[in-house]
Amino acid sequence: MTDAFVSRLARMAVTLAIVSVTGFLLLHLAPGDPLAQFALSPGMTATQLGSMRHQMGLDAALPLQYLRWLGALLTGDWGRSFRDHQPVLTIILGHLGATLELAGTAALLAIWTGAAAGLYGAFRQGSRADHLITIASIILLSIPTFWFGLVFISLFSVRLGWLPSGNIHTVGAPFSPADYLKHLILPATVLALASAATWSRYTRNAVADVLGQDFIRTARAKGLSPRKIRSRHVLRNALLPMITLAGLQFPTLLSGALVTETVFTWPGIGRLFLDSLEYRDYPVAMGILMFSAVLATAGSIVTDALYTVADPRLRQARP
Amino acid sequence: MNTVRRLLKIRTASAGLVLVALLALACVLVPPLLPRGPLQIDLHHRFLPPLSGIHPLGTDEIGRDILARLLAGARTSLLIGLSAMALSTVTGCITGGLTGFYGGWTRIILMRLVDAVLCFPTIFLLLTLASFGQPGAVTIIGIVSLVAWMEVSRVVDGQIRALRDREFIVAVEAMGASATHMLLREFLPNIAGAIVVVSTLNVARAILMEAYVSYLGNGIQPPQPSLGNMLNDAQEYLRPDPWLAILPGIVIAIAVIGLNFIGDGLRTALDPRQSNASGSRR
Repeated sequence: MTDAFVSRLARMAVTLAIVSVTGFLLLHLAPGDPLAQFALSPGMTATQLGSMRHQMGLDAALPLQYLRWLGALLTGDWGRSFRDHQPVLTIILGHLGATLELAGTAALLAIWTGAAAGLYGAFRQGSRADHLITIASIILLSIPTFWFGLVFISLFSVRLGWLPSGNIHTVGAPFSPADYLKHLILPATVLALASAATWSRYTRNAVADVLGQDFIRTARAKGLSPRKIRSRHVLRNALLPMITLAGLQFPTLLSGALVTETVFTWPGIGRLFLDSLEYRDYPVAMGILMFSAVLATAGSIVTDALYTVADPRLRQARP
Repeated sequence: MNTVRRLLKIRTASAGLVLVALLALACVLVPPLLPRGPLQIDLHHRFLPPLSGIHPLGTDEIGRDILARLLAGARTSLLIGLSAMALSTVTGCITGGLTGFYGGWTRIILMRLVDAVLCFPTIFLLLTLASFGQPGAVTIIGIVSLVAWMEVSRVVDGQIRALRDREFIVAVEAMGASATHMLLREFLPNIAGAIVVVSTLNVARAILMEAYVSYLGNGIQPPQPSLGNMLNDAQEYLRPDPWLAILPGIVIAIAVIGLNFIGDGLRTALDPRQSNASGSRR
């Protein structure tokens, strides 16, 4: 177990290293200057800009800048934002909560509705309901999430006035769970739509595959009730591909949240990333990139661990 | 053509073909017939709803004809989608072909690189790459291709490795066939199906990615219409005119749904084990 684990960690480290180098190069080589916003201040002289540039370390050679950043990161220092000098990790963690709440709620909604729909379709393969569910899933996956966002806002906020059109809480009002929920429903639903469609298709195909297997025929021939077949055999075996999907969907949660956060002005990581790109706030942008890369690789490790729990065939044999 | 016949039997695929064909034809044939162009401003007739006189789908916030803009945007999207697909398919085939065939260190390095890049959420990657070029169609084609070629490469690599040890390949190799011959005359015809499927789905993805990037402001810039930037503009005007938001989405849906149906249908039609009965055994 340890051997595999160590090699896994090594691969993860290599991947993260490549991610950090690629991200660093992309950010620094792109046109645009983090000091551009300061250059516009009245009274800013070239000398002052030069000393600011030196303070930020931007006048050093690119490899040196990267090594400095990496060295700091490895000691736990994620750097400070170019815009307000706040520690990057603090900024990210401050915005992370909002995104996790949004993405988490959306994920729960998506898994429940998607898996249910997929199961329904799989047990009725070839029927009208199955076809309809498959087609509905493809349609949902083909439409950009921000369109749903705009249409829902138009319907529920503008037309009907039932729900707020954005933000995480009503400005000026004291915090209340009801108010928060009202603000959460629309963005979470919009974010959940595409994910639910993916879950639906995946579950349907995974369960359909299992249902076609010989051991299911054996179970039926033995006389097991459909309910027992479902709970004891089908679901357990369909669990593996579903765990794969959960692992794959994890990083997508963050990226999907970015657009939804933009539509609903939800104060999360996605919007933070957009802003940091626009202002060339390299430390924050790199911080978010590394953060999501770590989450993605951690997700795949957890997924693999869950595999061994779910499928005894994958457990390493004791010597 | 057995595959084409099987494809047409799948109703969703036929529907998809019809949708995409109609859209493509409309983009080309309808604009010359319209009284107003996509850039013509008419401040006396702003926010007209659909079916208003000479404007079949109404006008936008500065009086431009929506139908004209939608068709222009659709044409841009389709062109971007096809170009990105072509670029990513060629790149992916070449890289996937080489890594699948030769294997070894090049393959390991490439797969590591692809894994690393795929760690980034797609939209993060697109936005970061978008800052490299001037916002516009060419940049979008570039960045979408950069993101899409990896999947093609993986598919081709996987397919080649699966076929590598088959008898007919071993036989041809024993007869002294060159790598070029093997890749082009032996492997390619057998993996063409998988490539076509992933390419079709890539066109759909490309159109969606263009919409996302343009919506966020890093793609096609106004006043040139793009389905994505039209949705961005529409957000301010949800109260006076929700149609501005609804219509571009419908066009995107038509294009992407059609292409996804076709891609899915192709996947089913090309699978030699699939038959129509749902109880078919593997």
